[in-house]
Amino acid sequence: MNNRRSKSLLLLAAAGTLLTLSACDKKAESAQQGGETAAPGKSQYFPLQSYRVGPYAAGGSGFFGGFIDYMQLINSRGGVNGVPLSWAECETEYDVEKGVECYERLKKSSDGSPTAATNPLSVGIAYATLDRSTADKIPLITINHGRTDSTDGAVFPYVFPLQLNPYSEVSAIFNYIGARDGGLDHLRGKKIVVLYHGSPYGKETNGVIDKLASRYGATVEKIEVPHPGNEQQSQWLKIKQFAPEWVILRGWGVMNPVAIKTAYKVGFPIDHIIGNIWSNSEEDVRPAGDAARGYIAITTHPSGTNFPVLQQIKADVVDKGKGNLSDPKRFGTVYYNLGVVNGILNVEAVRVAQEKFGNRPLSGEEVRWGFEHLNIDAARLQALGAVGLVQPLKLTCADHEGGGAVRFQQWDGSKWNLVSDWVQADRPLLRPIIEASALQYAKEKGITPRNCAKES
Amino acid sequence: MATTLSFDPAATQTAPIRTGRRWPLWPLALFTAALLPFVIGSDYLFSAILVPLLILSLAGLGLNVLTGYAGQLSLGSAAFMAVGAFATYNLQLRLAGLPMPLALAGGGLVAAGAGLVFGLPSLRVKGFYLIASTLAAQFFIPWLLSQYSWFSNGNDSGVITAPPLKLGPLGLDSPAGRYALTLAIVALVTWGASNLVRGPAGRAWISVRDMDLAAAGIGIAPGRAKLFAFAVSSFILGIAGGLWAFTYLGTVEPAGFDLDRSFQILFIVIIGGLGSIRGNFLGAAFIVLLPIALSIAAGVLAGSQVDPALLENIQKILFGILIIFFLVAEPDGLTTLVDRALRTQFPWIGSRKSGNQE
Amino acid sequence: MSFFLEVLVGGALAGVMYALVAIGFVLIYRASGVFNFAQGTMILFAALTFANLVEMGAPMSLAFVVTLALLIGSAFLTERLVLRPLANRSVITLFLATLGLSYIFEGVAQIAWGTQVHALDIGLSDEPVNLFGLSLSSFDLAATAIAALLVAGLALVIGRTGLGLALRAVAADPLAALSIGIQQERVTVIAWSLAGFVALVAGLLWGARSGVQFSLALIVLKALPVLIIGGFTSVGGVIVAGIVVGAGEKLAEIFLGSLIGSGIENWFAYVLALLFLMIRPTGLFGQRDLARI
Repeated sequence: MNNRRSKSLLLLAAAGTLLTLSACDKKAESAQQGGETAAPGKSQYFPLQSYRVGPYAAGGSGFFGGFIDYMQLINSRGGVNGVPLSWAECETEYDVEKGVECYERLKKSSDGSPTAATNPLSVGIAYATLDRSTADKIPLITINHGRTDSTDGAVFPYVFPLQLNPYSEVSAIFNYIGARDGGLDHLRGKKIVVLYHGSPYGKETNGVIDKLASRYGATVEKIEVPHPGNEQQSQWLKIKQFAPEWVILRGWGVMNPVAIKTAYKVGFPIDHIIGNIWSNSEEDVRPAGDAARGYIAITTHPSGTNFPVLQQIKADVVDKGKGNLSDPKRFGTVYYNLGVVNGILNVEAVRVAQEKFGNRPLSGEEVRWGFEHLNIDAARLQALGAVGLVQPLKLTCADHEGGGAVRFQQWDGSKWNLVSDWVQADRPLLRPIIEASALQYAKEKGITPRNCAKES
Repeated sequence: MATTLSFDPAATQTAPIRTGRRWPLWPLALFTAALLPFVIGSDYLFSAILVPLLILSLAGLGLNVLTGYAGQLSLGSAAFMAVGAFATYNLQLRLAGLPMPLALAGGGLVAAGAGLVFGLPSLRVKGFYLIASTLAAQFFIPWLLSQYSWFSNGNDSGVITAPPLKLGPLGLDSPAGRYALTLAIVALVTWGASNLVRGPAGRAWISVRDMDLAAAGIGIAPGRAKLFAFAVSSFILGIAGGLWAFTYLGTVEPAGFDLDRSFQILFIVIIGGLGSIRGNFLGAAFIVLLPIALSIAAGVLAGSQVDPALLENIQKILFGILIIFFLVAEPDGLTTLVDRALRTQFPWIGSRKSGNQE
Repeated sequence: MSFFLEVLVGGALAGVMYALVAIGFVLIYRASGVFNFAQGTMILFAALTFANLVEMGAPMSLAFVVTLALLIGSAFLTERLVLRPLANRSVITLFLATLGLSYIFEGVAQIAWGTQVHALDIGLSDEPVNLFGLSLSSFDLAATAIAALLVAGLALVIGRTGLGLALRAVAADPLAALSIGIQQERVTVIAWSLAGFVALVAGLLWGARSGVQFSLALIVLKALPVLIIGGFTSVGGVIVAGIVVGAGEKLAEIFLGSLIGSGIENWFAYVLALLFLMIRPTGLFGQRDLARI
């Protein structure tokens, strides 16, 4: 390469670097959307560390589609008590590094609107942004997943595993199995296999599974499927040899359809496989085709469009061309509805906080107070148009989960059908374990737990 | 002339030897790095750009020692980072009162041990096939670390979270503090590696890389040189891994050090320049800044109307094209490019040594 | 005992599917001396294109032809834009170029066909089948048969046709081949197109087995140890290696795994490859290199 080209390349590179570094400060990045009519700084801002690319794109695009559509709906009604919502997206590809970079880039809005909360929908990213979020005083919402011990708000004031934490998940499944078999005491001597994804998310519940097993006298075998789980022949042959009554599937991504297909391949009855909260969507069962018929999974919310709030979204957002989903057929699927539920809970927290702090854009600290005082009862659900979609939820300083109940659904080949009422997790059993784990974290980090009894 | 499997990095180095009075570049770079970011003072700059950039440069340096100088191809760099991260965590946890820099060094030593073990096959296997050994490390080590919860202090998920960062009484938990610590450590290790590479060890590596049979002929023990390269390389990678856990993410799961990360480090080394110290920083800058620059450019040019998935995929394609373009246009790496540009535009900057050893 | 045999045979059959992926590598390596990391994303691209065309209503044969045409087109482009400028470069540079290529394939595939998961039905059902008292998968048996046909077909093409002769000539001695008038570029395009065909078949089989989605591209990580054990240049070696890896992996996971923990499958193949290398440093059937000063 001759001198002129090398000189111009060098200048180009230097210019590019300087531009990038200066843009970080000016924050001219992902354009902020929503709240178009608001004056700068006068909207409630939600940074979105979303993922629409990569191996988990199906979950991410559905979830964030629902979340954004709900926010559009609220904005079309004038916002939360007149305060419009705004948001900005940054692609994380479900990658922890990118999630952290997106967090740092988006945590302050480009027009000065205060940040309400972050919703990364990723255990890895949540773990990595936990400390930063707490230091920056921005609530970190991990709906239906997350660090189980973050349920204890005394040690984790800014982290909220809304609705369901991993321990509650597993406990509820045990309770359902017990109920199916005629009572929890019938679990004694029964053989259960837990097939889990080889990742922190998958392993999170291993300890509590052992405790539940010994409590009920069941024989539990835990089998790991190495990420990504394309190939599960040996695991299912082992399961066939062990011959359990039930298999609990704690999968993620491609592991789910492969598990179902491989189970079918080795001849294990599909209707004795129960999937957890991340193995419960249409995208998890459709690729398995006919093999998935009869598969059971838990859910905190049904799929389907027969809810007033979804009908409103359809009328005021989707039909007006502002829908976020690129494939409109996914409207009403499990992940999309989870996004809507997440939107409802986030917005409700803002509304509750506004009751105390005033009808204006609120800071992260104030929104945190809102989350901790969420109290969604039957009447409120009716007003929100979400009866049957969202479970009654009450959070407190010490309890950042609030719900802990799930329903069970079964796949019939084309859609999910609910086959049970709300099944509650054994929260009194789980609470001491959660508190002990939270205390250990507090000790490691040198955090002084809050005194929840004293706070309002 | 059958299709050979020889990996011949020597063929990529063509920079000539320069003479004349010159000012070395590194003091200026260090001075700028130590002062300018604090003047700008942006949280984002510290915690999302500069810290990962420095750590990845260090990791690139580690791999460069092994692959660039000693000529042993490795695809397992991230695994050795993982060893360093977990070893540093365990040392800090179980030896109360151990100062952070010592824990990092200890983590590096443990990683060096692992590197030695997986470097043993290099005594028998040559060329491209050697990737089997480092790939085995790449898959075995994360499994080991997450299988036995002893490594993560009983944590069910196998995730470790770093304790608050302290240097004696000095609390370093702020983004600026983390940057300062990272800069100090990276500068120190780079200085050490640079001296090593310019000394007899470095010359032994280069001769083994270029032609190990001839090297044996003049009295250099190739086996020992290779193993030493593995050890030093893994030591540096281990420290980089410790920094990754403690000053950057604050948490690690073994999956954060997967094959993609190893590829990333390999890219840094190739794009920066094999057999160069300065190149690692340039390569890391390229790898870290390019996706962000593309993302920002897309946001500015396209605004809010474009589907983020489309944008992301376009970026991916662009990244692939840039990698190929780079490999075609400047095979000797950014460092040669920069060298050449500086030499012609600013003749008074540059090293007194020959160009391919800085 | 029958359990052991079931695992062994089942694993061997799965291993044939790994070998299928590895065959694409071998073809390209023999022709261009390149270790084509993009083979995985080529499989993803092929499977996605086929699945989407079928979903849009095209008959399977048309979808097959169209996908193959696209792959041949990409072979042309690759040769022209990537391989030609990088001629005579080091192995590592070419490898990294194919890594860049894999990003491009991935981006194009996801832009064209989206990121959703697709089921793929190619008419092969996956039922447990009882053979000699062992319960085996009907799909895996069919896949093995298809792989055998493919290998036989490739052997015919490479062994009996003029094209194949040119391929072998270029692999043995590129300069000599040039000197007798064999055009390197044409041979490269043909080799890459053949690899594309193999990728398509592999993509269909793997897609039918585990659904068509992004992690199909990660199958290449399982094919790597197969290649290392079998040698980069031998199709036969790769098939044997595939069977060894597949069976070994499953047996290790079940029997060794109960001793030292589960999840062994991730690294067992690589450690196995490493052990083989220590015994035979150029792979089972690879070409032996003589080191000279």
